Amino acid sequence: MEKADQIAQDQAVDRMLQLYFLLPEKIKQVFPEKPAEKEEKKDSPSKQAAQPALPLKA
Amino acid sequence: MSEVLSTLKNDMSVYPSEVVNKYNFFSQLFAIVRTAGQKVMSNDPAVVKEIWTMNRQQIKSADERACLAWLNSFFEPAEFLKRLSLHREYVCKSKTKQQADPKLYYVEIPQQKRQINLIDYVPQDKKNGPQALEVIQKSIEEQRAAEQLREEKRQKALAAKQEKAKLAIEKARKDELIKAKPQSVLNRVAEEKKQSRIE
Repeated sequence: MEKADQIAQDQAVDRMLQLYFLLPEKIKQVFPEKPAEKEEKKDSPSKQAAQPALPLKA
Repeated sequence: MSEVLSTLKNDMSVYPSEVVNKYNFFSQLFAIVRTAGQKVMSNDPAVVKEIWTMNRQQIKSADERACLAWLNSFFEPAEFLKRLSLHREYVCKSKTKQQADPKLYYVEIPQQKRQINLIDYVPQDKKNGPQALEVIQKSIEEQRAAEQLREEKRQKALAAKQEKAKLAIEKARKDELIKAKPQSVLNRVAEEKKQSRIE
């Protein structure tokens, strides 16, 4: 195998392994799940009203 | 894509140790698999397991049973589908290709690239196990069935809501009629009185 080929393969495999193992964890950390208020929040109008309004554009 | 990827390994301490262990285990294992003499890295679970067995001492990892479980899980069809969708979302740069049917997306990647870029799927049971395209097709069908079920539920809920509203309207009308009845009686009495006075 040529050196360039080998480097390309190393990078491609590492990229997939990072996406497969690390990305889901990163996503969990950035957007932590709140299981208690999953579906309920969508349906309940009172809870929807309680959500903060979007900031107004200046 | 590159932005996401370039930051993933910045600080490995933010990940749970099991995740880091798995990542390191597969990185080391596939590095050995790549140098095992074949032109393109093997994705055959049997070959990978054999290479792992022969090189266990070199790979720092958890106990053997855990490693075997990781290996078995990694080559499951569902995990292959995860890798395919990750590739589609984070590696593919073409919007058109991203929106294509998953089977078409898979087929359009040249076979050698699939082996490396996707860590392609090879059935553990080569004789009876489903091939990659069958795995994708099955997932498409399952997704469609789930969507259909969701739509049916939505339609049922909507029909029930409409029926409830209809019943509420009918009840309101009835209530109105009941309330209106004494008034009409009063009106008639008043009218009769008026008539009698005139007479």
